[in-house]
Amino acid sequence: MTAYLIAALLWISGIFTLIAAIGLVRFPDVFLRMHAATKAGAIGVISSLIALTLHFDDPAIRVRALLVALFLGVTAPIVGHVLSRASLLAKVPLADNTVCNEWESPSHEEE
Amino acid sequence: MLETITTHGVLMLYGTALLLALWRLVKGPTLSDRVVALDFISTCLIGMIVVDAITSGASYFLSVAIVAALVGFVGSVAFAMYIQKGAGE
Repeated sequence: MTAYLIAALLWISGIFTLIAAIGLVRFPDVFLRMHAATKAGAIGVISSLIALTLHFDDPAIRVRALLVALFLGVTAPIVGHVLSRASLLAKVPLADNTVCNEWESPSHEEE
Repeated sequence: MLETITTHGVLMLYGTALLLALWRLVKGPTLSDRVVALDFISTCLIGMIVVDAITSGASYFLSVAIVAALVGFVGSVAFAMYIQKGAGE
C-alpha cells in the first residue's frame, strides 16, 4: 500500500515539474514564467520529499526531509517576489497582451 | 518492478524538464529569464537528488539536497539584487 502511495507521489512530482518546465518555455513574459517555475516547481519537489518521508523509517531522516520541504515552501515565494520586484524595477518589458499594469509609473522609485 | 518503472519514468520527466529549462536559459531574452531558469534548474536538481535517494536507499543524499536548496536560494537572491542594482543606472 505504501509503495503505491510513494509511486503516486513520485509521479505527481515528475508531472508537476514537467508542467512547470513547459510553462517556463511557453509563457510570453518573465513574470508569467516566474509564476510557473516557482509555484509548480516547489509543489513537485515537495511531493517528492513527502514520498521520501514515507520511504524511510528512520525518524531523523523523516524530520530532515520535512525540514527541506518546509524550507522550499518558505523560500520559493520569497524568490518569486524578490525576482519579480527586481525585474519590475529593471523595467523588463511585459507581454504584448497584458491587460492591466498598475505599476506603469512606480511611485516609490529606488533610492 | 513498479519501483523501477516509477523511478526511471520520473527521472525521465525531470530530465525533460531540465532540458526545457536549459533551452530557456540559453535563449531567454533578458537576464531575469535566465535567473528564473537557473532557479528552476536548482529546484529540479533537488528533486532528482531526492528520487535518487529513494532509489538507492542512501539517506545521506538528503544533506546534499539541503545544501543545494540553500545555495540555490542565496544565488537567486544575489542575482535579484544584481538585477535591481542594474535598474538604478
